[in-house]
Amino acid sequence: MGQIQLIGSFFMIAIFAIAIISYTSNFADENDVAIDIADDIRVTDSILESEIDSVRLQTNSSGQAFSDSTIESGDETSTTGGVFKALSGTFTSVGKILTMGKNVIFGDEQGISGPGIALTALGTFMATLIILYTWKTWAGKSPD
Amino acid sequence: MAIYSPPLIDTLNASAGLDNALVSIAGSVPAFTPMLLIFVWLTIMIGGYIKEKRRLGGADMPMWCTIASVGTMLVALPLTLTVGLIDLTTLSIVIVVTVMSGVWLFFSRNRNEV
Repeated sequence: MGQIQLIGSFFMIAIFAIAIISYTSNFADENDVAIDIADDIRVTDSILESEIDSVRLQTNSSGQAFSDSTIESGDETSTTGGVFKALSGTFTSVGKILTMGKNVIFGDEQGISGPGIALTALGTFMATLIILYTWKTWAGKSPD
Repeated sequence: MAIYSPPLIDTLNASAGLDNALVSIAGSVPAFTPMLLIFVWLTIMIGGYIKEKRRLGGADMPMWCTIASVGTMLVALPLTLTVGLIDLTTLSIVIVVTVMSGVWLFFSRNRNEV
């Protein structure tokens, strides 16, 4: 998995989740429904507007840094992981959305009490995959 | 003396609309709406998965999971227009399952897909 696929995957995950939640919330607003997803305190907690702003600002700053960058003759072009720092807000959005899902389904008790251990294990596995893919992309080696 | 005395049971107001029957059922059987949504989800999921597996030899589980979740969400959204048909917990779980299916879909892709 190359850098473009990795960053694109995280970006699409964040955009997909924000779009689904925003769609249901706007459906509730415009149709004056009886049951509104925005009434759930776990959903409104810094997911919708602030995350959209976060992704937008990170994308703008990343694009600005990319257009301002220069490559001198003979430079090594991929010796740093700077491209991952630029869109780190996307990782934060994905993490918040996964945490919100865990809290909605299994409750927001602290620790690994109850069936929340299932999603905790799933989240840990995904985080392991993220770290391995990031290292593979950066170092150009296979983590297998 | 009345010629006709109505029975002493709570009958539905049949002239108020068909949704009264659904609200009455959902009030009597709280599992009605979740079971309806699970039925829609499983129908799309299992039907699409098995059909694709028969046609192509293999099936794309994350793709059909996402399609079934989005389809179920589109059924669940109109249910929120009427009081008593669906509660906030069920709607939240539908949204979360949709988001999780999308995350699974994006993580399951190889390069140059989706």
